[in-house]
Amino acid sequence: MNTFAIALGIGGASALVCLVRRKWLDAVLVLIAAVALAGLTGEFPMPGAGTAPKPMKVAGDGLRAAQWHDLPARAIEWTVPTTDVLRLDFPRQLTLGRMFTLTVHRTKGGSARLQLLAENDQVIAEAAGTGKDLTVQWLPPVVETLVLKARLLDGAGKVIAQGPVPFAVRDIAPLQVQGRFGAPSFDTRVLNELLANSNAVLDWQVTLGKTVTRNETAREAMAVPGLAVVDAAYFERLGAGPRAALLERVAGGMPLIVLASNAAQPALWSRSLQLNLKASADKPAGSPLAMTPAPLHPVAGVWAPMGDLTWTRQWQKGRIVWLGAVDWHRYAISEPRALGLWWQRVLDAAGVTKLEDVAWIDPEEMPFAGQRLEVCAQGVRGEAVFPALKQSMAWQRRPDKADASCVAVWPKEAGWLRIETQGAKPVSHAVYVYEKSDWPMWQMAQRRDATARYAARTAAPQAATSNPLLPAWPFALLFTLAMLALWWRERR
Amino acid sequence: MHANAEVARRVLHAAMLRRVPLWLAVALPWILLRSIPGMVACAAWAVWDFIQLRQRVRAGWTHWIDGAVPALEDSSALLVRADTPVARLQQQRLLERVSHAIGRDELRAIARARIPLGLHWVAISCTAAGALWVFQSAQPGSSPAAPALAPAAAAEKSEIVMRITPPKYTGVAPSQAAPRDLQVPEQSAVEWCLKKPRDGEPPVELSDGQVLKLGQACARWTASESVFWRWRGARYNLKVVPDTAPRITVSGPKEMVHVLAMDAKSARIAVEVRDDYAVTRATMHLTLARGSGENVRFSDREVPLPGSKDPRVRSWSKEWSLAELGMEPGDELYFFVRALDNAGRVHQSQSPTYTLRLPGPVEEGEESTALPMLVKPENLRSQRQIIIDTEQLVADMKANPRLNAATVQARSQAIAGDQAMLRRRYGQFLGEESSLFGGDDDHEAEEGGSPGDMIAEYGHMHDESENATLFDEATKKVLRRALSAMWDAEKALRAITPKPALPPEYKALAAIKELQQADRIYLHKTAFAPPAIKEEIRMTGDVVGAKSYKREQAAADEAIPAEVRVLLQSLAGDGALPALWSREAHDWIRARITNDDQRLAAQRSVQDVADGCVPCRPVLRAWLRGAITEAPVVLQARPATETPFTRAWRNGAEP
Repeated sequence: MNTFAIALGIGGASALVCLVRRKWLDAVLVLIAAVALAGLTGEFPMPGAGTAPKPMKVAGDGLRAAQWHDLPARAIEWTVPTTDVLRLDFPRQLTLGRMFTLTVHRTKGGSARLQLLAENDQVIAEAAGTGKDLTVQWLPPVVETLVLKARLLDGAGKVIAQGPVPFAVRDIAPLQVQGRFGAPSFDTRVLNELLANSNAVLDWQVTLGKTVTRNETAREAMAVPGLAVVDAAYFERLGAGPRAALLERVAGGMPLIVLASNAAQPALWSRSLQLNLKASADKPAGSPLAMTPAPLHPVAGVWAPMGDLTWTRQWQKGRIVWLGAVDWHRYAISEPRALGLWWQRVLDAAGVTKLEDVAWIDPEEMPFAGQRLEVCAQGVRGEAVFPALKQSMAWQRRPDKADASCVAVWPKEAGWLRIETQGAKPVSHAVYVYEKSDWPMWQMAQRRDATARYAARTAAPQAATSNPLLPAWPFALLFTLAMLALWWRERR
Repeated sequence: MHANAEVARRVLHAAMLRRVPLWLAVALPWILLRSIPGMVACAAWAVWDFIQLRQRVRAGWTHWIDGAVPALEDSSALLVRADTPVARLQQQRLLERVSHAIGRDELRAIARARIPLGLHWVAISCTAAGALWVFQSAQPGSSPAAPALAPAAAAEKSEIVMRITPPKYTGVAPSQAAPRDLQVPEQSAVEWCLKKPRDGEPPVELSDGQVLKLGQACARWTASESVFWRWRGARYNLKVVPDTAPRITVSGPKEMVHVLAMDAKSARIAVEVRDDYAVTRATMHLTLARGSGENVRFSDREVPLPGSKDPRVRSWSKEWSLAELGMEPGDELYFFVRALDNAGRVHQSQSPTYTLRLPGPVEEGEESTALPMLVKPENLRSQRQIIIDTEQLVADMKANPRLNAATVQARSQAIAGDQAMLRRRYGQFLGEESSLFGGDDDHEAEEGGSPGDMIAEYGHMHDESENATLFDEATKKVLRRALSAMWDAEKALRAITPKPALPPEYKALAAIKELQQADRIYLHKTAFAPPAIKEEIRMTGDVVGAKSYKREQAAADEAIPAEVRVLLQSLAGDGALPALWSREAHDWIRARITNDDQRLAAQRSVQDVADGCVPCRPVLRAWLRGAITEAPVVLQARPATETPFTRAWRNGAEP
């Protein structure tokens, strides 16, 4: 700004001198040169580009993510509406034997009741509460594709919202378990029954004393077990060689669960697994099943507590779980389902996984007929075929999904939309397309979230001030011409 | 002649016009009631009334005209009869005049004067219709008046009729009804008959899958459970009211164990037995228990309950004198009521057993009867004796303050010793250590004896599990209270302060008394015969006889039958269903769904799906699925997918 003022000041003084000498033309030329010099040094912003582009006005809840997707990033002017909305959270597919959990997040608390209804309008699960989140759980008994109904009622029993809850229950390959036990117990017996009833392939061996072993052979050949379960006595009695071999297999990726009930040699555990044991409190702990702790418990260190009286540590590619609960067989008759779920948590903590070649990714928002639907999956290849739409298209990589491939379609009608494709072998999947009138409050919430995401993606108005400056060369040219003309008039 | 007939016709017409409103008014209530017989009767009456009217008009119309029109000069008779030529001439002239003289107004006036309004007929009709209406609405079975009318009308139209014959013992009359939702007693014979029997009619389909042929013969079914039935597309529910067992209420005494006052002379027992049809037999069983400890005698008695006018109820409330019941102080009376009804398969019900207890006089020094299993040792002083000793000591100390300290100490210690022995005696029953049988409690064992007797001399019997589990928790609670009071008393006595020992001593006595009163305890015995234990190998760690084995792994329990699973899977699509699926579905529903309404709804959906309704399939699926009571938790691995990215990540992470 200073150079701008100095240039104008010098120019003004020179022009004044010219005027005093009554050289009118020179004075004009001096003024032009001064203005051009000032323009050259002043770094003026481009006229018209001086203000940021006007933000786009958005009314109500905004648009869906699929619609925002097609718009370029722009600032928006939007106030988040304060009306009540709902957000539903449930898995679109789950494996048989896992608990289905539906959670409704509300924006406002207050007494409410959430019901899960079957297709025949019978209530199969119900939860009441006053918090913002309500959760119902239900254990699907068979493999099938379902459209249940959820209903949210207020304290007076008036329906706040209701709509379909579509999901698919699918089968899963059975577990392959190797069990080795140094002493018989009711716990191992019950675990054997639990696994057998879960259709697992079992290779089971229990040693009684020194001479008696009881074997149960697997019903089908098991090359590499997916899980090994041993009791502490077995591990302690194992020779150094076999123990190293067992740990070698764990290092290769096989999870190992150790039942701690009959651990007796803390030194051995400390030496072989860096597991430091101490005497444990004798109080039953945990809920909903109160479990009696084993006599010895790990102290903190490499072993991380995982809850439910379990401690785990990574063993190269595999994982070892120390199950410090005993006498849980008591729940096999009184609480069979809770015991099963408890064991499932232990298995999940052990990282027992089953590789599948295709994983479908749930759509980010409710699919509707006539609106863009993006179907994404991991591990698919070739073409995706939509028999109902008579379309087939190639899977495409997306920059925002590192591992997945996607295709986009426009479903024609509400209901299940089948997709067939190729993984390692042919697989099929179905996506539920909602009716326009389903869950209006959830739709509002989704639009609101999508709009908020879009607003976050847009450059903020303050950052947009790096406007282009006026180009300097016309000023330089004008200044040169004016100075040349003065010089020429001087020389004449 | 022709002209006079014309006049007569006009008079008759006017009379009819006067009478028509009456006929309509009489028929109106029956039309409102939609009673066809009533309307037919009204029509018949109206015809009769018209004939009467016509006769009256024919007989008297000339007089009526003469009376009403003076211009005719009483000559209208000539209109009917004119035998002479003069008369005929006059008739001609009269006829000319008549047509002018008798206008519409005159006719109307004649009708008004001659034809009565007949309001009494309206009154009769209204009364009769009202009576019918009251009768219909009071009749059971068609209780709501308005809906009852519609089926009645339908009955006229329907081609099928239901005959319901309830079992004889119910005393309900057989009935006949048009197809509609009905309630029938259990085991009723239900028949569907065509009004015009002919072959080729569709069969009656029951909800449980039965198909009853309907043709020349009636379709017949015995009502065993609630169903709906379908004929020509219309469905009707047939609800079966099961015969319930007699209900017994004991309104006096109020408590299950009623303790009578000490001076009670009588006891009230009030019972009522109620059945839905009839109570055939009701008896009260009385058992009197007398004596205590192991010396309890029982005497039984059975008293029939008197009948009442209503065979469905037997109510008996009586103030029994104790002499009648045979009760003496200290006795207990147990009673219950047993009742049978008249159903085809007789139902029997029995009330819980009530107890009347007449407290006996408090007996002295009988603490040990609280625990009748063991004989009281000779050297054991009772709690009451301990109290007497303590009181004596306190009184002596008060009377003689300068009593020898050593004497006081010795006496106090002696009482404390007695108290300690008594405490240990009771302590055994809580599983505490016992020194009663092993020697002296203070280990003041005599010298000598063989070393083999050492255990017998010095040993304690510890923690007898038999004793620890002998009594129920409530008894043990009282025992514990007694023991802690005895501890306190002993403590005070050992400290040579006998006075503060008295309150706990009394407390212990009260607790013992309480135990004593509970000496008649009902013990439920189970027939458990433990297998013989081989004592010689017990706890030796010897595994001789146990063998290794190798067997195939156990098979999974089938929580859901395979057929149901297959059916559920095929219902998920819109393809063909497995053969005989409806029978399986019916079996599954009948076995698993107990609620009648839900079962009917499920059976309805089976029928819908069998009719080929594809959108109904999810509903049936939901019913079948809902009947699975216990969904199994399946232990499983977490599914994971390995993508190139995760593979590279893992390989990169691994050095």
